Amino acid sequence: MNLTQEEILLILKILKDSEFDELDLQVGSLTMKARRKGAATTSCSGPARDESLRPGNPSLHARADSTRTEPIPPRISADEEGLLSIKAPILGTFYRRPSPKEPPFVDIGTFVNEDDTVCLIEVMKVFSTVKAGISGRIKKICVEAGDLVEFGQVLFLVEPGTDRDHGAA
Amino acid sequence: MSGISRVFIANRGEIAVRVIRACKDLGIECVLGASTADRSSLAAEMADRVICIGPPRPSDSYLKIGTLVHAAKKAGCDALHPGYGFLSERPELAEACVSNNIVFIGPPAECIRKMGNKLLARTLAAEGGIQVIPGSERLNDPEEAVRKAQEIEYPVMIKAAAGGGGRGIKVVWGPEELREVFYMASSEAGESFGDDTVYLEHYVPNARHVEVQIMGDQSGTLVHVGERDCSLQRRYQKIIEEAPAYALSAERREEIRGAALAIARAIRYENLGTVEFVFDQDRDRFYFLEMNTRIQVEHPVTEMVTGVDLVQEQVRIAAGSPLSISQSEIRTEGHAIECRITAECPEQNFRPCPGLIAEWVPPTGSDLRVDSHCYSGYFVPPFYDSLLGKVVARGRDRPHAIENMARALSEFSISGIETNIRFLLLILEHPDYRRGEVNTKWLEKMLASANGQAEQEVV
Repeated sequence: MNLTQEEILLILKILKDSEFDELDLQVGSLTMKARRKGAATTSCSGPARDESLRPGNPSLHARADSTRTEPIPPRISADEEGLLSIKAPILGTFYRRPSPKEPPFVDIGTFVNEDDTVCLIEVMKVFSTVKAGISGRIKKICVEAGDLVEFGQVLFLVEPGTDRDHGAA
Repeated sequence: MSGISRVFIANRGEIAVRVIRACKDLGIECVLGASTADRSSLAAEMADRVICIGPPRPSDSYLKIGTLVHAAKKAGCDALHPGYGFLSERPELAEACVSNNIVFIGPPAECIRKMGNKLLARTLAAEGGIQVIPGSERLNDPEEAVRKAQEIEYPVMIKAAAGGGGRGIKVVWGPEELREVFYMASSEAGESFGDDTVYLEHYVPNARHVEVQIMGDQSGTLVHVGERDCSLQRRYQKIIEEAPAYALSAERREEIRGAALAIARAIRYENLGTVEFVFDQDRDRFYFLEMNTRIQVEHPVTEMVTGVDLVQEQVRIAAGSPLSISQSEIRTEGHAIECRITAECPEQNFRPCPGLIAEWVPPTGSDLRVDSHCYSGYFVPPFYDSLLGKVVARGRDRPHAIENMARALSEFSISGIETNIRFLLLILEHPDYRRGEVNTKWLEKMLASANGQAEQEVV
């Protein structure tokens, strides 16, 4: 199947009217890549998207909101102020403490390394630890303990940096 | 609705839309569990709340029992609807719901379990006096197979015990052939399914697929809602379904309804279910095939000819209400046909064609219904099945229903992706189809002759 010129123009129009900055589309053997002028690359880490395995990118949607809905989203992404977010890798109930009597894993101002646990997510009594995945200082905790967090929901905002920038945690 | 006020929908696509509509009609709130690929689907727009349950791959989202039940509970849902496919026939989901005080909108786990095991279902049916397809137990060697085949009568199918979805089946017409293929079938079964057990089943060459819709409430009242003919299949996938099953005599119709109710009664069935039969047109007799313990894709044809809203009924039953209609009030009027519209390219061996739907303009008209989750600008994700929707047309009799359907399909305007609509129109125009002279192999034979292949390749 080939795209007609009309269809390509239509796709570009949909992209223009949408809030997406980039489009990667593969239809049969035809590959189309489009980028809005001046668009910044949004994701700064996470697995590379393997477009060759997929006939199309599901995040392309005329009515999609501005949240990128990647199949394998990077757990970390940057906002305008240069803060990185740690996102929920699974749906579940958010917990800040290893147990009710212990202190929270992290607080605002805590410096975290990539392998540090920042919270627990519970699904049907099974608790999973969530690692920071990035080093930096916790600037904001976006969820209340006990809340249901969705897959991909932002849990923490982190000011990126290394030990040396911030001193020992 | 007493008992249920907020339903969690653990499914996607057109059935999620269908369930939301039924819930809205009943004044029930809906929470949709959606993967990232479905966050901006039509169902997501219609639901009162959407919860993102995981990434697109079903094994990471729609197939995660714990995640779904957890989300349902935390979102304050008192019931969960599984739709069809995915987890709808997994007793573990029904059990997880019950142990979390969530009503599972479907039968009790025990019923799902009994009917999920095909050999057990067969035994239960046979014990209830229902004819099952003559067959054997597991076979050890070719000579045992030949002895059994003599009792069963040729042609026979040699089947992999662990097979499914139409895979691992060979049709054999005589003892020499059976001796020849026995070890091959057995070793293929081992390679494909990890279990080399094979058994025999009588093969019905001129068969129709006839199924009976039943429903039962918690007080034990059971009714049938007529039957459907789903003989037009490709690779065991239904393409066109009709209600009522027009090839049955009045006598067989009564018998098959009675058989379906007997099986349901034997396992104290509750909620909606479908009992499937193979109808042997040459011998005018039917055999129990299996029972599906969920809402089916083709349920709208039954709704169109009976006026019963099966999904609403399903929710009511789960909430503990009695059936809203009695057996004597259920009447069939006219004939209804459903065509499954898929994102497939028939010219390229039905290759799936996901992508962006530029334009989606469904047909309208009287006695017509389109169940779909698509719209202009919708991106068909590549992670799920290719069903775009269902066109259901009714007429005062079968010829009128066919005319209505043909007109509807020719009006359907979809651009941006390939669909099977032209292929559906070819079927509707075929004289065999118009006369109703079809069986479960007809569609594949028609395709083979259209492609110039030898008919014997089609089994």
